[in-house]
Amino acid sequence: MNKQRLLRIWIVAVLGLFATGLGLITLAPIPEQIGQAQDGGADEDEAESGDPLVVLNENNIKQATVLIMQVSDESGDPVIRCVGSGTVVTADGLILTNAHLVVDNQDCQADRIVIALTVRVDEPPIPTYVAEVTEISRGYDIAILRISNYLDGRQIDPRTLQLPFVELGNSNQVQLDDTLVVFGYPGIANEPVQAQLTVLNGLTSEAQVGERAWLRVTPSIPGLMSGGGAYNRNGELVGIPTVVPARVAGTVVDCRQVYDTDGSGQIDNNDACIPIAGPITALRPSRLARGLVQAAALGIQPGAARTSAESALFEEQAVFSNLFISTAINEAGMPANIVPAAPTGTSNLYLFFDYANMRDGMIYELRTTIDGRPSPIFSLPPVTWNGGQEGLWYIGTSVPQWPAGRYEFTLFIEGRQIDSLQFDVGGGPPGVPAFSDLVFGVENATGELVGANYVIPEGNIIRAKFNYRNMQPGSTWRYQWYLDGAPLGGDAAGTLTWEGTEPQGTYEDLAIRSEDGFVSGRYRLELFIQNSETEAFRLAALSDFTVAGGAGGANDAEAQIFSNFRFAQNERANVPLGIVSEGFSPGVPGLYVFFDWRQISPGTPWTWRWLVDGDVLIEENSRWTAEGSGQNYFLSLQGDPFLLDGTYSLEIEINGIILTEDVSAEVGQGQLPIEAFASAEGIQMVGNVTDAETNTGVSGAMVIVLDPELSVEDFEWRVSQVRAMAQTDREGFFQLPALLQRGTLEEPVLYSILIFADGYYPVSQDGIAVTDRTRSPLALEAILNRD
Amino acid sequence: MRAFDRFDELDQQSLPQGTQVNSLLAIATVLAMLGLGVVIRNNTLAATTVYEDRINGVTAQLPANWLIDAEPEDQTYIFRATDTGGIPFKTYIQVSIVTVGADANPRNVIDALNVLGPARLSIYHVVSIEETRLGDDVATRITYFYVDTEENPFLETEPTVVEGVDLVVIRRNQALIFTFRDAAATFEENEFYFRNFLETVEY
Repeated sequence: MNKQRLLRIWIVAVLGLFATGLGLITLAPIPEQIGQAQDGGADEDEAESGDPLVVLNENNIKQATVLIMQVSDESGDPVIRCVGSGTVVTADGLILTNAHLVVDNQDCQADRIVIALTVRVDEPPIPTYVAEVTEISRGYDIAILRISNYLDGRQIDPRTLQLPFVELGNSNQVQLDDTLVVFGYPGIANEPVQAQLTVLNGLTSEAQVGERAWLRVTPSIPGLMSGGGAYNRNGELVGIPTVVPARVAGTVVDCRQVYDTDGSGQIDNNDACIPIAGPITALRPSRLARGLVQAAALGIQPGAARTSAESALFEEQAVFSNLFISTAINEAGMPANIVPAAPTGTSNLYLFFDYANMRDGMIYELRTTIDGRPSPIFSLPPVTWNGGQEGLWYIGTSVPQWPAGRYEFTLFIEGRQIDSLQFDVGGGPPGVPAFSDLVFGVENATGELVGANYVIPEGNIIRAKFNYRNMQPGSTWRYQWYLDGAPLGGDAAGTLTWEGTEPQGTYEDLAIRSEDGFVSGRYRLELFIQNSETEAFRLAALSDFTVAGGAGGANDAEAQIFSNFRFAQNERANVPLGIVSEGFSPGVPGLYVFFDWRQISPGTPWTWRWLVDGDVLIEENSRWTAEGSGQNYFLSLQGDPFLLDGTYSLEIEINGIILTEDVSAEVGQGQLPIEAFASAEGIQMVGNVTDAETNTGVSGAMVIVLDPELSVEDFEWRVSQVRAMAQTDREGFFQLPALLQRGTLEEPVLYSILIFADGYYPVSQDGIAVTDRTRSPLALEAILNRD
Repeated sequence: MRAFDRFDELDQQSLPQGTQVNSLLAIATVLAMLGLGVVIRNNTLAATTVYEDRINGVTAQLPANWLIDAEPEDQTYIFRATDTGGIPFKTYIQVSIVTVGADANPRNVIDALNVLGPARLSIYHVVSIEETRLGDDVATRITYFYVDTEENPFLETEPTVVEGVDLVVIRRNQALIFTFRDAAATFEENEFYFRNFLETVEY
């Protein structure tokens, strides 16, 4: 055999082997054709530095930010009535937004809520889903929506949704001067989602919420971004930009006609308009939304409660009155003092006022000027009211230092100016006589005041004590006790001469007595000090307290109002039904808690809250509407379709005092399942699959990521072995619906990936490492060869 | 001298008989190996694997390397086998079981599927319902079309017209629903997967 013949035979043999290989190669993956894109994967520099990787995943936040539209049908055509922003907070379609954007109201009469998604971050959103309200707090102006349908009406199984979402951060950790990034839609569906930098420069407190009721930011944010999200540098949602459209004399100031809703062929004032809110300077902290989000995620809603006669509707005009300033509040939300002016360096001021004839859902506003110039940071933009009909309210602001000047605080209801107060900040500490820190108690057998709080049991004597300073012997002061807003007579009012010799101390000798005993109700004590020069009396201290229940506890100083708590599966005619226990088997649809009560006056403000495993889920401030004493009052929780395992607890509070102790029941294991709340923490994997020949995207390719530590060789073609899978779109782009769990640099989590497409050789790769330094999204590039 | 020039030179010469035989043998070897490759490839594509669901008492041969999902979150089927490489639609065979009364017949189940169809599938349109047999059992077969859309709204995926077949048989107080869905354009080409499945399914 010569060399040429040998050469030819060998060439042919090699070609044959190559052809055989072509036939077999469909079974063999080609690992080197999957690679991480340049901008994805672990950041080596940051990995070496050892510092935690701070990630504000802007694209993820933008895609989790949705436009919310309230829509109604006019002459058969859908018309957008209101718009605002919202944020997806769970992958299965829970959306956090403002309550005023999703409830039917006088400014926005609609019958459904349409959700528009940002598909491309630089383009306006696209209407995609219909959503329903699942949890709402009108007072906090927070609502949770659940995506329920496609626009064509088809229902959506939430389990099939895998939307980008964000997690709530700890808003209590946000500090003054922190930079926050606010995401939302600044236009009426015609602008892409926008991110705006702001700085936290104030904290506003408010009655019934307490400190940090509002986070104050500058510069202001466009009003249509209300309902969106404000994020800290870790990309956690810590605030919800909130403002309602401003009104003047009950009419919305800015309302834009966009659609010909009356079919006249022209746009005019007869057409419905979209209300536009003014600039946003206030954020609702995320802590107020956390319980609602968790309740919605668990499918828990407040269920039936014992029904009682509602208070009669009233027609009188809503008013604010008796404005005054305090520099501190106590645990009951009462003013610690009342000051005529504040010195330079003051950091906290609280504007208190009485309110009457208010209705929840009304819009109120505080406008503040300093030396005649508007001051947004010390104002409160239009927000919804949730304080009930009457009582004492406050708005406070904490800043490093209130600027010196003459302040004018003006309060508005529904755009009507109601009352105002002038107040000076500056100069040295005032040396004027002052009372402060009013507390109440009962008298023990030796005539001493015992107990010190704001819920007093019924009895014959109520005593008060307070601190004083700068009081001069011989100066005149007076006091007045009130019951349900009406001044009490007899020894409930009096004018006295100050007899103390110490300039400061505690006064404990003020008391009010009743032979018949004090009936339950809402009481108030006001203290005045006379100006020795003008002889006018100045309000020096004020506090409300509640008389309710019988005496009990230490020294009989504690009010015993609620007792005999029992949990049941159901109720009928106000009687517990089904199993009555403190432990229930898994799968109960709801829980009812029954209790007895005594001596509580109708109209008394009270707060109830449900906790699951110690976390507050649902809280409501309400007014007592049942008779004074009785049995089997009940509250309930309902699950959808049933309550998850957990420990369910009830707390009842009046005037900041919790009046229940360990009222709880266990369902199933008594602990929420670990997977009850999905985490937004993890790596999002995206990528492109490209045709090697044409360098264009491969449409319809299947991308499969296996469970951690499972190699391609061990894959048995079972979905149970798959962590996530996705299909490429017409551009060859894919986005895995589930997040990949992070490992550490020392112990990375290793994933394997397979990519298939008809007409192409499959490719696969083992050992894709995900660590705590891996940047999200992790971008992959895969190249497929035609078979 | 380059190798190709050398070949040209050699071609112009008359080759010895042994050389010609060797060449023919080499070419035959190449063709045989090519054929072997194609056969192996075709066998691979047509290969099946036995899938047994002991809990529900269903056994069948499914195409090899189709992804099997036997633990659906929504419990709407007992198992589904999907061709992960299919473009534009991931062809699948699915088996579902619904509980029915003693008097139920396959047509009752088909009617229920027809009512559910528009609520679950976009542009759902039934083209035929016919009585048939599956082995010794009476069966009803429904053929329909719908438009499949990507559930991830962030992907630019064109909708696909899908042709589907549901074949229903009654087993005691259960109705078994055998489903095959594929892109309408490739339905006939791939329907043999479903026929093979129906020929081998035991329940």
